[in-house]
Amino acid sequence: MAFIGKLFNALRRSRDRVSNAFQQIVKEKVSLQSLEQLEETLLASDLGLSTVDDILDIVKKHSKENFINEVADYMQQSLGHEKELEIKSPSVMLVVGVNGTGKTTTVAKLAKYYKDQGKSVLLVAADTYRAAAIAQLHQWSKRLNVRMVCNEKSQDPTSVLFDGLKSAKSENIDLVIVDTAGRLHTYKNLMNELEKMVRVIRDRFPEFNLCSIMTIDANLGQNSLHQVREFAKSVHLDGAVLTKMDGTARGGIVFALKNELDLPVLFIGIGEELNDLNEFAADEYINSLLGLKNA
Amino acid sequence: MFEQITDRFDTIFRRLRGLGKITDTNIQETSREIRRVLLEADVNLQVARDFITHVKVKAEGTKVLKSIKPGEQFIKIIYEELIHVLGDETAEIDLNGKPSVILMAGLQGSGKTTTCAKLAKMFTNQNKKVLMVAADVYRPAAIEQLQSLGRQIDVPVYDEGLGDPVAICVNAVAKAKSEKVDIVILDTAGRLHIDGEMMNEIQHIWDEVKPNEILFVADSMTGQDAVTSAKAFSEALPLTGTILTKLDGDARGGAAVSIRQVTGTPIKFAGVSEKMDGLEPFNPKQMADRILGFGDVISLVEKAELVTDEIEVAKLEKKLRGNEFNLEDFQQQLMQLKKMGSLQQLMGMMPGINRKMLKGMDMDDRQLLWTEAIINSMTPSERRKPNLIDGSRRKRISLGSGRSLQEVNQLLKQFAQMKKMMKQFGKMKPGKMPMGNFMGIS
Repeated sequence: MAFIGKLFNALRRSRDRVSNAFQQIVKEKVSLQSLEQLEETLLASDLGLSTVDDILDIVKKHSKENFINEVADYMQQSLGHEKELEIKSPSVMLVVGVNGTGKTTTVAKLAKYYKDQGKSVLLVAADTYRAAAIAQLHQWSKRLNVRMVCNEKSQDPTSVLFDGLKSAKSENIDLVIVDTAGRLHTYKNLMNELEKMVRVIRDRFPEFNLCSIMTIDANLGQNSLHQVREFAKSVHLDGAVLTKMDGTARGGIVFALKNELDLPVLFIGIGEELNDLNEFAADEYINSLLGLKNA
Repeated sequence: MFEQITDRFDTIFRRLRGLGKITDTNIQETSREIRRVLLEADVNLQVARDFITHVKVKAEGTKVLKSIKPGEQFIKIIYEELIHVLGDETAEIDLNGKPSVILMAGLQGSGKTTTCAKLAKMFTNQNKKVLMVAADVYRPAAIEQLQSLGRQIDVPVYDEGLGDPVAICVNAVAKAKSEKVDIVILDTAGRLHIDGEMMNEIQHIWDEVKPNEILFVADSMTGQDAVTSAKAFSEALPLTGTILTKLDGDARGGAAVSIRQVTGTPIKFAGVSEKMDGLEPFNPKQMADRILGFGDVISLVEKAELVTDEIEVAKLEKKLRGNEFNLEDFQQQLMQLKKMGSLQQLMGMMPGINRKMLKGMDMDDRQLLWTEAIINSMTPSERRKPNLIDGSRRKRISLGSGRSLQEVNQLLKQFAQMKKMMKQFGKMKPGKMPMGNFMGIS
């Protein structure tokens, strides 16, 4: 129960302001003023200008009708239907993202998630850059009771990855989750390093299915789009985890992510505990944003 | 997206520059555009709105002035207001305590621990004795991270393992006092502003330690919610400033404006690289340029003014017009260019040149040096009359400059092309020069 309560609370904050704004505009009828109010609330949720413009156009166009449903349709179309990531055995999952977006914590949560599904999981500590990143993942691996491969002495993430996959192969591991260093997408050499990791998996371990997940901090704004665009040039991204959704940020960036870059959000992170990872349910998110009841 | 915004701003400003006078209509129109630009840079909407109101009032005030270039004036108003909102001047840090205590606070992942070490490095470089304190007992391995950074920069770290953060800070400051440490930096855990318990804890630390500086560490990529978290932190703690991290990304950094406005305290430092010395005093002017995203037009003008001598410019222009421009003049131009900064930097400042164009170009400042070396290996008469340079002279120049024959040929070819272009530019308005060609970029 506590767990459900947490999710509810986490989403309540995102729900309230936006849904109130919609209810307000329904009550007050569409006017210049109420539209502006709505625009403000949507922008404040990091939906971004182009998505907000689209929504406002819909409201204006359907001002006499039930525009909420039209908006819901638009949002649903933007987000598409949930796509579940199929993890075929054996798989290797690269968790990538900008510094401080929550990669290591997310790696631990994902390990828990897939372990609970009965998969054998191995962690690879390929963040050879940040001080004590390996120690951080190591603590999680102990708590999870999942083995971790690392090399304190190596500065080369690809060699750690190589060791990890070799070990996973001999142990018939279902899923290898790789914690990579945080990198700003503006550093060409760091992005090249990521490409190298992908190459090694493809060339040396072709039996592994590769999937890449990007962590996106809900607190960040429109820059997340640049991040994804740049990362996608180096590695094919299968989905995103929207982290830190337990704060007050509303993560409206999900629409632009899917709309403009076709990157689906697969999970949301709602806390610092291992269980604080939830599958992202588009309809639930939309309904809660719009204050609609779940069908 | 960056390019789009830059382009749009170019359009706005081109339109503005062509304006006969500032009217209510064009103030309205421009305000709307500015608002969009600010929002896309993640400036909070409320903050953007206040900003525009100020700009409008000022613009309306200038309406009556018989200004020659109202458009330029409008741009200046926007730009100056933005610098003002960002704090005008670079702010100082209070180091008057014995020891001076700096408390770091912020959300998870904003970069507190790294910034602690960068600050410590900066102070050590100023010959201060620094102690870092590991008070993040929650995130796994946070203490190890600080210790490892401490070893890297050779600054001691105080920790008590996973003890009580308040006690850790109190004990650390006491220890620092007895050991005559100059500056104590308290690295606290990242916390959500709505986490009452954790906010209480940091209030407690503040209350017990009474730090000289309480710095809010914020990610420059933060979105609209920056106001909410910054406000909560500034209400819980008497913040003395902000440190903006990860400015080495390509975030436009609109959050800086919001945070500055909401906390009412200056932004003191900015993290600009992954290296330990990648922390710089915050510069409001640079930030304004970045948020507006139209390239650093104003500093380009200023920089050019700084290094070019009016008389020289007039002379050069005459030569350009008469098509008498030779390699000697080119050499002089190169030297002036070098004084202005790196090529990448300069090109980034040129309006009409966007990042996309720059990306593929991979400009090497050494290119300038090489070009200079080639010209330096010519005789004065060769520089004045490049036509003199035949095959054997080319070989000599190549040997003298240490560059390949192809490079010498290329330079001469480019110069010939440039001269051809100059003829066309001869019809251009005075004061404009085709700079790209001076840089050996084809």
